[in-house]
Amino acid sequence: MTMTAAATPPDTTPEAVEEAMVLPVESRTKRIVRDLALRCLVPVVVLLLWWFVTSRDMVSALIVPAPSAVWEALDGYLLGGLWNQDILSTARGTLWSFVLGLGLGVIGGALLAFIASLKTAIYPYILAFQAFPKIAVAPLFVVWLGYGDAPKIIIGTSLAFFPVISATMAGLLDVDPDEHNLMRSIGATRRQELRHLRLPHAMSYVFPSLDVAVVGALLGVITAEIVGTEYGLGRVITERAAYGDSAAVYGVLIVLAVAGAILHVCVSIAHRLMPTSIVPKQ
Amino acid sequence: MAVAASVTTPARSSADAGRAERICIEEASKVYLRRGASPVEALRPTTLAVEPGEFVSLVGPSGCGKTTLLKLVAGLDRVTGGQITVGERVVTRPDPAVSVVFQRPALLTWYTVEENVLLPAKISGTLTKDVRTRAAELLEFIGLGDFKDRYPRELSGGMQQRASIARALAGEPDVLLMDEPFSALDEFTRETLHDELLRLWDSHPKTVIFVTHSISEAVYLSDRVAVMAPRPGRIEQIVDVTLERPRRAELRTDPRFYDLVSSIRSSFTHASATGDERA
Repeated sequence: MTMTAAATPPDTTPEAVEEAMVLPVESRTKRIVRDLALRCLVPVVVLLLWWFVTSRDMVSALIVPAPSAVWEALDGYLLGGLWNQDILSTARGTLWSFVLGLGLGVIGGALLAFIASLKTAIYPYILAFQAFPKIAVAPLFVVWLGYGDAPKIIIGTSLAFFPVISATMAGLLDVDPDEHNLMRSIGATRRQELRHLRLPHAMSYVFPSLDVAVVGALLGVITAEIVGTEYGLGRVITERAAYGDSAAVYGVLIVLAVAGAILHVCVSIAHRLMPTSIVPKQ
Repeated sequence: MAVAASVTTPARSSADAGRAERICIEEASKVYLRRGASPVEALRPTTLAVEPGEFVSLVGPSGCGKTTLLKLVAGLDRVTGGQITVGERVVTRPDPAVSVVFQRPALLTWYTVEENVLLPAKISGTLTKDVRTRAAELLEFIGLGDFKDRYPRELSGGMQQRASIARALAGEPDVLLMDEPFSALDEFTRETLHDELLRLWDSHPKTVIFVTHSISEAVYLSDRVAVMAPRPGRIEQIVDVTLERPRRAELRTDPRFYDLVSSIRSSFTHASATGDERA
């Protein structure tokens, strides 16, 4: 049935709204280029300022070494391969922490979501544990477990775990009542509701939490390494700082910044590679 | 209460009427027990028979039990007294033959429009080529043919609700229950969807119970309007809507339409001092 023209102004038809939502392709690429240029602006300005401040000897090289000195340190240590074992150790620790945090978080979150009494019994303590500064126990772990990978993985996991467990739990439980009733009204079994409603919903919570978890893993590992370890970038920082080699410390910080960015990109790529029907996009 | 009758009985082909089922609500009631507080009577024992292929609206202010009654018919909630039958079946739990359209479209954002429409069939294990064809036809019919591979977030609110109606009809249910499906839409979209719903109902006859707080919406769509009142939730009266079908947009300015709407509205001011209906 068609409505009279007077009752339906042309600009409110769904088709017109739909058209307005789709932006022309050309302007989109233009916008991407412009955004990229804007983002490059910040590091360029920072680098210029950094160079300006150090070249005029406005601050001590111990506090802010010249960009060239940092580059030399990176050239010597990093490209010279002197940090290889440390980078490998930190990367291994971070990866394990992330994987364990993710696994324990998802399993723990699911258990707490589906067993109400377990949630009542345990969740307050998980919250309390989250508030507790886990880094403070790092020296204890080092004393107990030595200078190997174990203490860093434990600290890293404990930091990576919390965002995942709370996201999993929330994602499994906070389903929309209408969507829940829909699944009931079409006669979905518990398993079907889990597959078609709760799992994708939970995943839409879990994936954003992985960004936090991966940073937590790296943070925990570096902290444990600063306390004491045989190899690791945290150890390099304390060692170089003790020698007053600020340029090398800055170099490590740059390596860590790049590592953080790489981890973030990896999580994003993993997210994109997952099928939409299990891990919703956006 | 008697409302002036003009033309009765909507024209309907008898061949299609077999698709729809009769809904029989007999002394159905719902009482919520609360620990340490007096029980809440959400729905006083209510009796209502909805004939196969009939379109009945439940209209009333918040708290009048209209959504409660709908959920009881849907099997989403259990009666605490009386019983409800759909066809031969006593309602104790949800049944695929009874489809529900909710206030919000409740489309799963991780599925495309088509996947959402096919979900009920997939869940019940009845996803055949026939169902796919029917779903495609339904989507075409309501103007979503070109959007079947889109995700819900790419659709306007009106289009999302259209898709959710298509989902409810794809499984060829006998009964369609609608819980304020258009209340979140703007007036223009809402009126367009009224006409589309009637058009769909005409080609796919179902027994429909339609919950709304808008009197004009109820009158425009229904064969009968059950006027409900709160505290405790109950049906105050049932008004026959004797406007001929098919109904078209011109009807909205018809004096007979106005008369029906205003007589129902005035009944609210008499029936429920607590009602805040301003539709």
